[in-house]
Amino acid sequence: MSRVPFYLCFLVAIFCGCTRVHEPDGNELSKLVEPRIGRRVQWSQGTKEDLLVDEIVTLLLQNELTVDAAVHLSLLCNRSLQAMYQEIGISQADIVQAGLLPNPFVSAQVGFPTQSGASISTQFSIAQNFIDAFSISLRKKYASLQQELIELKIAHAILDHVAKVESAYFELQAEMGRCTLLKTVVEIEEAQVQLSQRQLQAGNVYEIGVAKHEIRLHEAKIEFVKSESEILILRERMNELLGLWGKNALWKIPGDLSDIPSQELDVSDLENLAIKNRLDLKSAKKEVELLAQALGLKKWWTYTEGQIGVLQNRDSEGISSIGPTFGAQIPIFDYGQAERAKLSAKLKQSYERMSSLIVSIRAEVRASQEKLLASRALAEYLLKTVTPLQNKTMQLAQKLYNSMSISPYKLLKTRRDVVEAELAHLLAVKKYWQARVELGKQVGGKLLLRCL
Amino acid sequence: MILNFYGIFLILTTFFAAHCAASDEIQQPPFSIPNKEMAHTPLTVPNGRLLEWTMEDGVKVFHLIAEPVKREFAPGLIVNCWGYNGQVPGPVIEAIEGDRVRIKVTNKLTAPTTVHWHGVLLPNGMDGVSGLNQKPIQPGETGTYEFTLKQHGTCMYHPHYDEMTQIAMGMNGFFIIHPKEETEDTKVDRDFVIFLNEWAIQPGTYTPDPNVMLDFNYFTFNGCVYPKTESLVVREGQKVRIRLGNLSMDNHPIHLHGHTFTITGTGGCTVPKSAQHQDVTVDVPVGSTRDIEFVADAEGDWAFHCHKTHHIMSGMVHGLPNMIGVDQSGVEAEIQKLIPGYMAMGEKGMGNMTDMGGPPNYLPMSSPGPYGKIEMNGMFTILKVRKGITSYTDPGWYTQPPGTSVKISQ
Repeated sequence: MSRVPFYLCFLVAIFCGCTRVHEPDGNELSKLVEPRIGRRVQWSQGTKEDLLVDEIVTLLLQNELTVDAAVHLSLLCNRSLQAMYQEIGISQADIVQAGLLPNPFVSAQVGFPTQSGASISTQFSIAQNFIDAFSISLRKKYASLQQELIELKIAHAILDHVAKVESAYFELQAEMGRCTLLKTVVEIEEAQVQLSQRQLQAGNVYEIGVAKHEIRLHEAKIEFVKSESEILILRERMNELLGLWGKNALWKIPGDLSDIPSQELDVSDLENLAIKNRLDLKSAKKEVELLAQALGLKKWWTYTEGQIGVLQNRDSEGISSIGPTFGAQIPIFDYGQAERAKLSAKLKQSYERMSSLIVSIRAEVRASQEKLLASRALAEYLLKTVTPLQNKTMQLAQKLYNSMSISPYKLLKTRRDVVEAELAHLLAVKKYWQARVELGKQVGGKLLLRCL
Repeated sequence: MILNFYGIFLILTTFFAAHCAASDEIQQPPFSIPNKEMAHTPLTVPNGRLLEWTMEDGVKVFHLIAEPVKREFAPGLIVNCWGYNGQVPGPVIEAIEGDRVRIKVTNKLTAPTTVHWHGVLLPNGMDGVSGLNQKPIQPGETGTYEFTLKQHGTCMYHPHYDEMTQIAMGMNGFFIIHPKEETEDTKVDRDFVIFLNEWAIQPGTYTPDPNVMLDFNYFTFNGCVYPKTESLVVREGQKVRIRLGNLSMDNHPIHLHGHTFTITGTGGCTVPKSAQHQDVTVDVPVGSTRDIEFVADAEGDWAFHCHKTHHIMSGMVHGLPNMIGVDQSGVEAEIQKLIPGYMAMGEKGMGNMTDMGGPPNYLPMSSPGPYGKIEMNGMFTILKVRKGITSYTDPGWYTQPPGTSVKISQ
């Protein structure tokens, strides 16, 4: 009987088991991310689109960056995001791997006779694990679920990253505004020092009075210099998030925080919005699904590792034989009971974690909502009540100064009080914008929020 | 001819009118009430008035009403005071030695009060010290004081309940007791009364702070600040008396320009002629009165003011940094960048300060005069001596005769 058909069938089977690995793309990721932040994922893979990235970056850097431009830049240039996207490539390969049959096992044996008259004996066999073939679809399904999980996690990480960029942007912008105000404080203290020095020159005060003013000037200068330094540090934080360096790191942003918008976000039913849209929650659900799927893979028969094959034998007398082989483990000790128990526990654990996450999400949303409303209330109170009062005090102080009822030092101190009020307002506005960023992250994406 | 009552009345009236017409053709200023008895020169109360009286069974009856009073110290400065009968200081009580006086005091304040007759000799029970001589007059009540005047001189009246507050709020006034008869020595042609007060009114406020002990910023003659203080108008050659009363917290050395005077009265008493001396400044201690007399023999506008230099300022706040001689050039521009409208001040002192727009209810520290700003207000008025005037209405600024003005050259 010809052996060729056997080998041919085997080769065909092997060929059918081979699968090519396709190049992954970011489309599924973009579908998750774009409705939430208004930007597509830019996965750098040497395509025609990637060639345009440098042009876009140059264009964005020509003008002062808005917060949206900063987000756009970071999605284009941040290499750790790009590294994260490769997880999808890895998981895609895992899908392919899941669809592969294990390699056949080939063995050959040659026996040289130790007695004369006998001929060389040979044995040749090919065997293939057939159990895995039954579980290919399950494994592929598992790998697909894993890829979906990875995509959800990456998408969630992107949203987190975008929130960090926006928050860092507002932090930097606020610090720039603060620095400008601190400069005014330095000028105020400098004027007082000059006045007191001239009083000293005229013989009208004792040195201690001048020294006290000089101390306050130096304290103001220290705060100003600290702020300048903080700006540089915050810029580098931004550069890290944006993924920029060299000339590209010299970007500019407007020095003033935007005013709080007159219309506030609709904060009704944000908890349910978050529950519906949070990607980490979807990940947690996917993980439960994945573990359930994994449990399905651990059937007792998968522990037999059954093999079928072909054995060709030629003994020392020159008689050849060929026939099928069959082998398997007998699952009497280990039939996957421990693995299944472990997976079952992990499944329950995962379910509890998901439930805990739901509670946390609700609490986080409520907290973020409160932060948003409280910071708006504070900023508005400062803007509408405190700052006008300080300005009025300034005007009244000027009238008192004009009638020589207060000294120029007291007048300048009143001016400083106005600056302090402006600083308090600036801080409150920064907190508002950062609270808004956080709330967007908490509900699963800023574009999901609506105004009243 | 039977002289009935009406006939006698007509004769007396005619005689009386003729006497008045012959003796004094000068009309009294509208702010002083001519004494009906004409035994003495009528009092002139610049920026004030006399307290009206009625006769009841031979008793001169006065009615003081203690009440809150809004007093205009000068245009632009209204003060929430406490006074009497709408006046700060209170209206002048004028009587004659020997008069039996009955003074009703109605309390329309929210606090209890009394009245002490400062320098007047009277029964202990009428002395007006709350808790010592009487219970206080509660809000809404009326206390009646009655006594016979046994002296003559310049006395005062003021509360003796919570004096620190009530006097600081403006409750005080003159009690002038004329001698029964004027003599050549006592007779004057013009008799002015000026009450000295101090006030602590923070810039932009309207109510004096009675808790201030020494740091006052407004100083008044009869509750007014120049330019509202009415000038003392006299005819050249007239004998003039000025009575000064002081219940403030400081003594006030009052100085008259252009004349020397004699101090003729202190503390409600007459200084004997042998003890009188001449001066150009009389120190009026706290709680005392001083009468000065002089002949207005020099025509002109003569300053009459307290010589404590801070007492001829208004609205000054103390404790400011000393900017005299401090060159603020350059710094001014730097501060203007921070505070638009800022102007450096004080390098040359307080003179020539323009009104740059101060707080409400505040007076600038100088007022217009014939030769630019007069750098005085506060306890300052002008003795205007004019030849041959027939009216005491303010005659305007004095025109200096040629050759009698200071020459100023480069």
